[in-house]
Amino acid sequence: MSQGDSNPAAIPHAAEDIQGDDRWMSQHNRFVLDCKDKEPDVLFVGDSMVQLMQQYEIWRELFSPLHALNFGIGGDTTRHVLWRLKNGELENIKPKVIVVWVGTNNHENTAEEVAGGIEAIVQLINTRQPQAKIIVLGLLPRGEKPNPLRQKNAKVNQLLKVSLPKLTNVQLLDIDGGFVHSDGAISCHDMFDFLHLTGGGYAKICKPLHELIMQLLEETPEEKQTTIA
Amino acid sequence: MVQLMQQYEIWRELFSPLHALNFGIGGDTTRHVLWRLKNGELENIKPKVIVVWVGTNNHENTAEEVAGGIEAIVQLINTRQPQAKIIVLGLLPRGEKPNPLRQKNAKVNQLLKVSLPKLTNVQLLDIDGGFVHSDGAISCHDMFDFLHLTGGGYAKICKPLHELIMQLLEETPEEKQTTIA
Repeated sequence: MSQGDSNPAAIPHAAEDIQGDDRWMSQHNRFVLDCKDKEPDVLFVGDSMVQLMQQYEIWRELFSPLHALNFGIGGDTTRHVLWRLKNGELENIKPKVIVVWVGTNNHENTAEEVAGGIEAIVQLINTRQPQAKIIVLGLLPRGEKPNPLRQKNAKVNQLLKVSLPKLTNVQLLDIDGGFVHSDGAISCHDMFDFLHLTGGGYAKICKPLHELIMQLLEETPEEKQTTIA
Repeated sequence: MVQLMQQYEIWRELFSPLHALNFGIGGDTTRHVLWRLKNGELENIKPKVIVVWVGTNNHENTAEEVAGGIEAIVQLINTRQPQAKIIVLGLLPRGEKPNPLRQKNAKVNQLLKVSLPKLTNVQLLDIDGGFVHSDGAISCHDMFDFLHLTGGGYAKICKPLHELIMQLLEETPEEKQTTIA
């Protein structure tokens, strides 16, 4: 497992404001403020796969009642998530469960580096939030037809399957909802642009995710979690 | 801005019943849309209304160039789809606080306000739903990443848009459009 200086995917890095409206920093600052105001029991952190989840009804149905916060930013790589978590997004909160979903945007890194970046995120969380049980979501296939990114994402998942059991308080959840059909195609009904999930796509993956979160919350020794708001 | 609209419930409520198709692609600039429209996306169809919403991603262009790109799209549609009434949506403000892109998008809208009336069968619809508050801030409740609209944000802009589309559909001389599916 590679990390630190030898793995570029594990070096924290804030996004630069290339477009000119500083939205990445605005979003990060909001999350830091949320940490001061709120007391989430569940924290979701990652890229657009995480961020978009909150825009669908399913978030309100399944995760809002669990006092969940969503710290997803579209376009983020492992480097961005590492930077954010080191710079305020784990302060003043004590979530019981942290869901990590990132890696599909790490275009400049190999599968090994991406897996290493995710491991670095897990280790950072272990240090700052030792009580939190971590769920790492496997990367989904992408693109309408078979292509190198599908293989790369699958490779990342394979590497994590081996490496994550060696880390603390973390498990890998492979939520591929059968998105790739027998002819190798992904449907736009599941991923509207062959990357981002539709409401239906999210429904497929949120079911097992929600079940696992509930299970982990119930294992927590403190007062029972009130799940239905 | 177009593509995401279809992911929210509002699309099914307001636009699916009008037999609407959504040809939005995230990240597209006026150049991408022009290419797509020239390469098949206006073939074999005869829509009564065409809604165009593009320009906020044209980072390498000036406001004048962006407005020109939008005008070129309108002229292309006039040629290929002379029966279609075109609605060009104004670019929305973006970013949490005042920034150069807000001024640029507003400039594009100002330029279009002057130039579009000179073109055929097209109007500009400014759908800014009061997104910029008195302190200059945009709320993440309207734009979850200070660019893309939430369901609530879309609800604000879709109301006037839907009304205008209905109006244009009713003006069409052919058989009345059945609007409620």
